[in-house]
Amino acid sequence: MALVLEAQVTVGGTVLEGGTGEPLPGASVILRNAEGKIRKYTSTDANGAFALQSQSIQGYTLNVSLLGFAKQTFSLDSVSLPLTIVLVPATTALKEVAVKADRIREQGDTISYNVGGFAQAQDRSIGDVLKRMPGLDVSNDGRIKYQGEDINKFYIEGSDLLGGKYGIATNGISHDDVGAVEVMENHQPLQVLSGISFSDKAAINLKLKGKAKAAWTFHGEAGAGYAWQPEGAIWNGEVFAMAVMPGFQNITTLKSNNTGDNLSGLATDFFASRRETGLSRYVELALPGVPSLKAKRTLFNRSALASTNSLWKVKNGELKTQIDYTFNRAVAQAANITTYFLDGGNRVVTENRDGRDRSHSLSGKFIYEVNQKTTFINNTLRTNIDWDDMRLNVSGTLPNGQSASLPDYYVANDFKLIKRFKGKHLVTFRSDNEWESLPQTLSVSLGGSKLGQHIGDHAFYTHESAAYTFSVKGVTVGLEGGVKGYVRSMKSELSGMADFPDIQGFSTVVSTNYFTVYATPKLEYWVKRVNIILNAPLSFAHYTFSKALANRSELYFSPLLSVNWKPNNRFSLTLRGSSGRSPMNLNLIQPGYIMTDYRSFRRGVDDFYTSTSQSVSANIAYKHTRRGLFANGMVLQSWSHLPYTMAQQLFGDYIVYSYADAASDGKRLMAMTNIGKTLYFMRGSASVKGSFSRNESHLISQADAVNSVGTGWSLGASVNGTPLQWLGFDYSFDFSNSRLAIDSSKNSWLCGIENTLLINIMPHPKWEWRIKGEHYRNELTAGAYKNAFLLDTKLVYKLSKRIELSATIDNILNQRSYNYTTYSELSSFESQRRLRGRELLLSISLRK
Amino acid sequence: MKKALALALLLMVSASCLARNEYPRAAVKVSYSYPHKSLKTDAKAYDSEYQLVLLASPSYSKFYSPRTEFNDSLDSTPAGRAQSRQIMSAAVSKYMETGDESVIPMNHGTLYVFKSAADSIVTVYDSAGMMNFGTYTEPLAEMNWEVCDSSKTVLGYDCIMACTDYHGRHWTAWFTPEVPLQDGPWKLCGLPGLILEAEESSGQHAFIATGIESSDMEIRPIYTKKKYDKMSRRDLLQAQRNYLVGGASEVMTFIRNAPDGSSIEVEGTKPADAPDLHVDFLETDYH
Repeated sequence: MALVLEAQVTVGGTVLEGGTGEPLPGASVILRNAEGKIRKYTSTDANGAFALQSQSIQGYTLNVSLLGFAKQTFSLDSVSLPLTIVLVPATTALKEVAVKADRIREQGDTISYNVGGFAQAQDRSIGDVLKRMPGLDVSNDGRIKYQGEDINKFYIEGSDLLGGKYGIATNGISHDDVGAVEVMENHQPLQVLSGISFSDKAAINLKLKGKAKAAWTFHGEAGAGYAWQPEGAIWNGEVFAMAVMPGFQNITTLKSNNTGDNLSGLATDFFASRRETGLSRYVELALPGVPSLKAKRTLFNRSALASTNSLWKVKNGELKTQIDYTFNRAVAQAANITTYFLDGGNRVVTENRDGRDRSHSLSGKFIYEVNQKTTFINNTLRTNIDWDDMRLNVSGTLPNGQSASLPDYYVANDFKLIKRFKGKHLVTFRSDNEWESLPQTLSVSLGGSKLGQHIGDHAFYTHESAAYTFSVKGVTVGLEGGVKGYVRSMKSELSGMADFPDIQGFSTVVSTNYFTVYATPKLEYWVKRVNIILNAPLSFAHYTFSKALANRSELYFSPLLSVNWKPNNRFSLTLRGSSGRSPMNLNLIQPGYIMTDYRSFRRGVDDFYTSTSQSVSANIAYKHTRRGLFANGMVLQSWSHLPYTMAQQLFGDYIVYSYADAASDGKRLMAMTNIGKTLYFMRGSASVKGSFSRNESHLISQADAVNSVGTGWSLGASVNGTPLQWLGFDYSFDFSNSRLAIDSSKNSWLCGIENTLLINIMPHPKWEWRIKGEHYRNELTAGAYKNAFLLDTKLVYKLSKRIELSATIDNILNQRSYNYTTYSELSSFESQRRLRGRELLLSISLRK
Repeated sequence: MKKALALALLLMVSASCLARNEYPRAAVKVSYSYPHKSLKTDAKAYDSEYQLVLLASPSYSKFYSPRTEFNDSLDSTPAGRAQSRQIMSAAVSKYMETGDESVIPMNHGTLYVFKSAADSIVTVYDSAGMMNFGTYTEPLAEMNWEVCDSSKTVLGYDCIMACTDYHGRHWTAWFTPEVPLQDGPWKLCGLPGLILEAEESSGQHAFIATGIESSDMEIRPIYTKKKYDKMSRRDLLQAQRNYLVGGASEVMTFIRNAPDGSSIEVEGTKPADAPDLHVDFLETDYH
């Protein structure tokens, strides 16, 4: 009986193409049992025929499939053998996973990151993807660092359209339009200096995909919705247009939102050097502080940005214009309630602060540049106007109102010409001119009285120089000489101080001018793997001060040495050391009292001081591109010696900050490390970073010397990836711990922990569902913690390649406040801050 | 539907093009990571890993390194050789400066495997020791796969486990019936679905799919076909082995074309005191 049952059955047949009736060779034929397990399989021969032997076919099914044809499945219980199977052409839907070569490639000094290899489904801009590339670090404000050092150029297809305002590109350009991100190590942007002057900085170049080149690309997003706190409508809109053509480039973008994203940072020039006009605000009005949560949770804003940037290639050079306007209006509220436990009952002091800050900024930059092997010419004209109006009201036990108007006007022109002769000789001419005006008005109403502080502050700076450099066999010797001139006048007027008839100095006029002649010898040794640079600037400065101080002359010498060693392509070590004297901040020279807020005054110095400082630092970088491993570390120690010390004195309800004639020493130690690694197995990456800092300083308070030491360290880790076809995630963890010790009394360590997890579920190519949680744990006083948990979600529907619809709910749990109370033996302190409440936003995004 | 017709048409057209001496086209492009152990010329083992690509249609496929093919394509014309010399020259001077070997655009192996389902043969091209290259054809492997019940997901595809012994090694492969191609990395094939992952039992060789996409790329034949000598599989493997294991210091010095066209003598490496002889090729049955 068993023998009968074991008789072999032959399942055979022919596979033909629908329509033509032609036999189909190479089709897969699979015989499965009732449980769906594969029992036998074969493929069709040149005649489309197949045959399988099986001991049983009871409950069995037969699958026939061929690439490019619809799959067929038969139950063998209901068919007669041999079979004739007709396959109809159909798309075999492949679940595609981009085929890529190595995710990071290295060719000489250039490392190329494959953007598709790092992008996760939730990413939009190229900036989102840059953050995931090991070795690159993008800080919250958008600044890019490679192996711990700021980049020195940001190119799009080899052209420098945006200069230091590359945040416009990293936040705007869709990562879909970028094929690769190239990092050029030791990038010397000036062709005339190539081979003569070493650069330890890296540059970034975006290589666009073909479709984004030689045509305008557009994308935009419009979203509207409702917020539970502050109750009302919310919006978030963006239009981005880009042209990258051989002779012309343009990026134009418009953005606006009131969803907690301050856009004024996007137009920040990360390459801007310090303004030599050196003006700074005396008025120090600030909105109430916000808890240490992400800005998006605490910023109540209306923000707008308009930016247009063009580059034309003309004959030998490039003409560039960059025009930006940003607007941000922020409001903030804070309530502090202090309860003093007294024998006769509690005394409660409340303070409610309510502020509004409105800032506009308009800037224009016009550049002409020739960057060739023998000639470099650059002329840059910069204009900048800022308006900043602030209003701050305090109600409660000590009610007052403050408002400030703080506009700033700035114009500068920089010209630079470098010529290279016979390959080895360089001549450089420079002329920089800057003008700035910083008028400041502060009005305070306190009790019944009104106070008004007006400051007029103008400065003009000019710098002309010439330099000659020659290079032979890796040694470059140069000498730069020049003159600098500076004229500044400041006028301060404080009205309404009738209560203090004895005190003089509520109105001040001061001018601080100088004329400097300097010479800077420069020696550079650059052979194979070692580069040594020695700069030894020597300058003579003559200062004149109208009335306030006696004129004086000073000699400054501030040598700087840097050594770079790169034994191979993987490892690099840089040591730097500097020492020198420098003049004091001229803004401090001012004999009167200037009101900086409703209860603080600043009194300047009545003598001219010079300070000295030293610093040494070491940077180490290691990379192994094939393994996707990047690591860097930095240690910096600096010392400063000031012959004056800041002092703080109380006069009734007022605090006066002044400077006392006493030596003050400061010492600073900083260490940082960052390690990044690709995680190929889940198409992701991970990074770990840590930092340590220790600041030691001296301050004279109420005629006592105070020695304070601030110590802090932090640890952070992040990991992201797509471990499953339908699942992606992004996780980050940050821990920070800090302590302030004053003299021998040490405060306790206070720590903060932040955990962020985003999970992206992609059940279908057209749908994505994201859920994001943020958890904060902040230590308020020793052992007392404040926890906050915020939850967001987003649903995305991809209607087509060009249209995407999404619905976002931020702060689902509708956490509206961040309140906490701390206790000491004799009092309690309660702080109340508002958070952005639940928000629903419906968006549509389009792209061309 | 249109797409499917186009694809079907394409396959037919490509098949007919083959007759007119044009190249067949792929339907699918799959990249595999190939982590493996290899021997240096002093017979010391080292770990290596690079990407290899399978271009496949139901009737014809090619398994190769795009990097190696690029270098070979340069070598196949005089202009390309000039360009190649330039690239090499730049890389070598960089190497001299930094001492870092990774700057030299080295080949990712020398292996090419062409499988023709229509003729039921597989053609292999590989290096056969220093400056020698060999090629052979075999019947398309009749691998006796044993399909198991285990399953797992690779690149989002449900894969089924299958095992076989082949040319001296025991292989475990994971194939997906969702992609009806009886193909896979290297010579591995014959399962009713594309092989997305395979490893042999000693842990010296593995292929792991890292990407898959539709592709209509031409499956073009090997460049510089002339440099390959016909030889048996065993002879090719033995020649390669002799070169790596030093073969009683036959290869003590060799002459190499410097980037500027001159010849430089480089002293060959002596066999190590303790060679890693257990490390072997994908096939070990040649001994």
